[in-house]
Amino acid sequence: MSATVLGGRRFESTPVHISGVALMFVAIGMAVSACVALIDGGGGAFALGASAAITAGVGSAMMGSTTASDRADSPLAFASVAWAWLAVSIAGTMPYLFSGVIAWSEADNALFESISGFTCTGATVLADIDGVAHGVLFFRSMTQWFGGMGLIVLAVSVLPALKVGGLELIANEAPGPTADRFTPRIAATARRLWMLYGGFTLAVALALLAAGTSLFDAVAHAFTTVATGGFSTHSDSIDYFDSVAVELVLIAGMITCGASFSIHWHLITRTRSQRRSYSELRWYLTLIGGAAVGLLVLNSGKLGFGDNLREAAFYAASLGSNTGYGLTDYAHEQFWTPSAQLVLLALFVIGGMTGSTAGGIKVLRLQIVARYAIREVIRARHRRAVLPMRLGDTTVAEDVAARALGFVLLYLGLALAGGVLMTALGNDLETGFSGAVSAIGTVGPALGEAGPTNSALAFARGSRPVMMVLMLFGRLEVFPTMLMFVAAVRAGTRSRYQRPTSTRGTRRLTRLPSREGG
Amino acid sequence: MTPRPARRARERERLRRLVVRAVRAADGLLHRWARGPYESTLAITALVVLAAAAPVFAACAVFDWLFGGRVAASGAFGTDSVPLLLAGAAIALFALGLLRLCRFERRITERQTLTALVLGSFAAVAAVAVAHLATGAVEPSALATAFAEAAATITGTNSTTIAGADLGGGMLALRAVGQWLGGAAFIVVLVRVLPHLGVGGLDTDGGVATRSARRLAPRSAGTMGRLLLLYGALTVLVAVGYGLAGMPLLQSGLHALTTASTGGFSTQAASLGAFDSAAIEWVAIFGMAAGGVSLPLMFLAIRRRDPARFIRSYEFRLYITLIVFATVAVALLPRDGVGWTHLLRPDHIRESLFAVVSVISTTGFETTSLVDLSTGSQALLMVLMLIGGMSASMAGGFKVVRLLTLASFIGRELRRAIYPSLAERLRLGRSTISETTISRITGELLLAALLIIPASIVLGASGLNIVDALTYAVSTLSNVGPAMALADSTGHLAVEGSTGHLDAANWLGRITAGLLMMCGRMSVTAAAVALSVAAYPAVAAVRHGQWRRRRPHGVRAR
Repeated sequence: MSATVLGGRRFESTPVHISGVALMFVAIGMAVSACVALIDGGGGAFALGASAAITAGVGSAMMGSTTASDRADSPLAFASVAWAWLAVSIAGTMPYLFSGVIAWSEADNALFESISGFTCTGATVLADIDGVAHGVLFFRSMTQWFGGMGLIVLAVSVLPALKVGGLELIANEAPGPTADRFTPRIAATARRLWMLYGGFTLAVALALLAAGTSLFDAVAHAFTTVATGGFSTHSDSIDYFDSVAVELVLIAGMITCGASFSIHWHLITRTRSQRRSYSELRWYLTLIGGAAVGLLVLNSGKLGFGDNLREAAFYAASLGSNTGYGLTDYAHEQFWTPSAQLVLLALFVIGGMTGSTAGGIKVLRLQIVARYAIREVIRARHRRAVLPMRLGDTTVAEDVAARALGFVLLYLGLALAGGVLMTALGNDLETGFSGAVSAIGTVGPALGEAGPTNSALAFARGSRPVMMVLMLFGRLEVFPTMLMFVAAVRAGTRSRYQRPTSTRGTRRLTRLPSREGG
Repeated sequence: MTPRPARRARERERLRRLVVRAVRAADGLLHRWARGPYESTLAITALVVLAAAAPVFAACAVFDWLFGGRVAASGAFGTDSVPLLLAGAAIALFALGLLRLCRFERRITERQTLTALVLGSFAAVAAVAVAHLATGAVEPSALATAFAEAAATITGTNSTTIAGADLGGGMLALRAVGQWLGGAAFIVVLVRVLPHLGVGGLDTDGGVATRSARRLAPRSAGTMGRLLLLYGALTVLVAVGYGLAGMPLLQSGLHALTTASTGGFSTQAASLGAFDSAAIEWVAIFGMAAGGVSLPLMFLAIRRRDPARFIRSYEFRLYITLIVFATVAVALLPRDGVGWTHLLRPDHIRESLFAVVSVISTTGFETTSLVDLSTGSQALLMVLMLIGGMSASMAGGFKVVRLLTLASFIGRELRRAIYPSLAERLRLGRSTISETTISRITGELLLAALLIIPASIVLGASGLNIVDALTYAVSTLSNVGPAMALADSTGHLAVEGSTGHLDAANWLGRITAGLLMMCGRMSVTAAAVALSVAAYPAVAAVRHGQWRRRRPHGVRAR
């Protein structure tokens, strides 16, 4: 279907257009993977090539038959992003199915793998990863890399501009490649960020190579490290290498990429005074460090000191950045104590920094939540106190804080609801709840039966669709996913908020309701 | 208001004057007695609570002496009488002695009120802990256990290391009365203290909550009296119900005390399951459900003879919806090992309803162990534990009205994601919810969330596995008691939910559990304020030390 078939008329549909663009990117990735498969000779080249052709065909048709609306308001942008992610995830199932890595009868598993890839989650349904053709594995790692690429732009410039869940705070914390009106500047911002992203990938790949991995492993792991995804090319994940050097490289990579890319940009280009403190970065590093120390203490009886230190540092970085690489199975009580596992669960929820590829509620929102809670305690003592909320050097506006809180509450509610659904669909309590938390935090491994050395096959098949939905929710900061249908339906209908016909139901105020004395 | 018959009004007036005179007399005595050198209202609050424990102890001792053998499994009379009397006397002497050294302050600030609340409940816990130690209900060396048991008693949590069957009649009575009095004290706090402080946003006017609780009568003392009367009437009603359903008289009295207060202690090792009677369970279901209903709402509905008031209350509707929905889900979900075969049993609906009501009203009675239900229902029940009953009810938990408020808050944030400059007031029925209330509610929830994580880590370190630790933290914070998991059958009692977890934890876990129960009862905000008052010197040191220097000039101006 091209423009000519439709009589030369192009529909104005931003979601379809953006999805088409995203599909073209993925098609390029598939083609590259096909080349890798050809060089490697392990098969899968035809499957990847065919997928690339189909994806490119569909993508170009979608691109060619539509135009992006030049009046992109936020609901439309939400919808576009969410639909694009979904389109790409569906396209991503083809290589697995065509190459026979996942049987056609288990097409839902292929979708799971694909969503897990593009959302940078890292939960896998492949039981025997080492036996899969390298071309497909390369594509699998690449899905995460692409997911991360889209995400970086999304996280650093699109979502903050749309004020999703208080993310505009990024602009306060680290003004820079955030766009106020994102359309004109987004291309320039994206280019810079992708340069940075590519640079990090190259650095991690080279470091891994120097640490002694094969070229294929180095590149594949660099892809998933930088995207804080967590797919590995081996069933044993990082334990396969059994090398401290590799672990150190990955720890550094994961911590770096779980941190804000706009802060990286500033630090590298020195556009902002280095002395200025980034409170979120401080919290982030403190959290990971604290978690590592906590794990070390809580696990002290279980492992020898050397192993314990290795594991604690690795898992604090891996789960603190929501990457999800694994060493030994922490979900086994003979290796790890329950409280140490609970620390990990807390890391699942918190995640990395805003403006990064990491998932979770993000450290910045944790800061807001903590400040908010403390402020309420102070306010219970001093009723009339006016307490502006501060983060580092900036003051957080009330409506921004409210947005962040709304996000956190929605996130926790979804995780809880997801956990109930997961258990109702046949998982035990531990696996079900941690699976839901892990999925919405886009971590990958969970607790219970679905530890880092087990695949996501440990989850009951009926419950995996729940995880897919949660992964998409978590990846796109919840709101866009919730609104993707609303925004699509809304086109043409006039909302009650735009032109109130009556004052019943909603009282419009000229400004936000302010706090009154109780 | 309809004019009342003159004689009845006169009688009421006489009674009211009598009560007022008694309260005044006690107040006067206290003021005359407490004229020591140390000016501290906080200490006086705690000491008065301690001193008030003595008559309760004495009553329980007498009860044990008269009827103990009829309720205790051992059949012995008066085993706890002497220790209880002695403990009561010692506590009273101690408290009165120290009271003599204290003096009232001229005026007290709000934060002191909160601290007084916290201190007072700790004093009550201390008294009950002494009783546990004195009667040998727990080992004399196990101070942490005594603390946890006492906290469970005062906060109305069915979490214990002791099976009801191992206790003497005196302790059974004391624990039941303790839960009931804990509930009664909570009503007082609800009417007298919380509305003035607005802690945790419980004054959200969801149908009827504390704000309207103040309006039940012209004076707050009158409101308090009416609510207490309703509470007492409810208890009597439940007791009569139990009696009619075939429970022995004394047992039904003790169980009514723990049902109406949504406490959950039982005289039997197998909780209410021991009676194995459908009628008793139905009475318990209604009693517990009523315990989870807002008292002011109930009062108004009865007073105005207007049952539709229940239907009009958003909170009540959601409460009932939650119960119905959860019951259907628990009944229909396939169970581990047996699949859907439980549907063939005629009593499975009652069983599901019982579990749901027991959990949402935060009572914690058990007929079947929660572990025997499907995992999905366990997850659902855990969520219900978090939610808890209606505001201004005897139940613990987060409260349905706060859930409603948060849901509409989230809805507004979603709408605001589409329309960034949207300005909208949240409403619950006819009333608007102020932004202050919303931030109090969110503050409370966030504090609870920030509390549950470290608490479950400590519980995990003290001997529970992950599921145990998390669900037990939730369960104790909501004052329920039983938790999930602990499914391995090695040596757990039939009521593994309520006794197993505290048993499995070591002293650290027991103290944590006790503290969680108290935080849950007083609301986390109140506990945090009390803590912040206690920690003020340290906080001030940080504030005025290096903390302040970091802020650049001009940031404070706004």
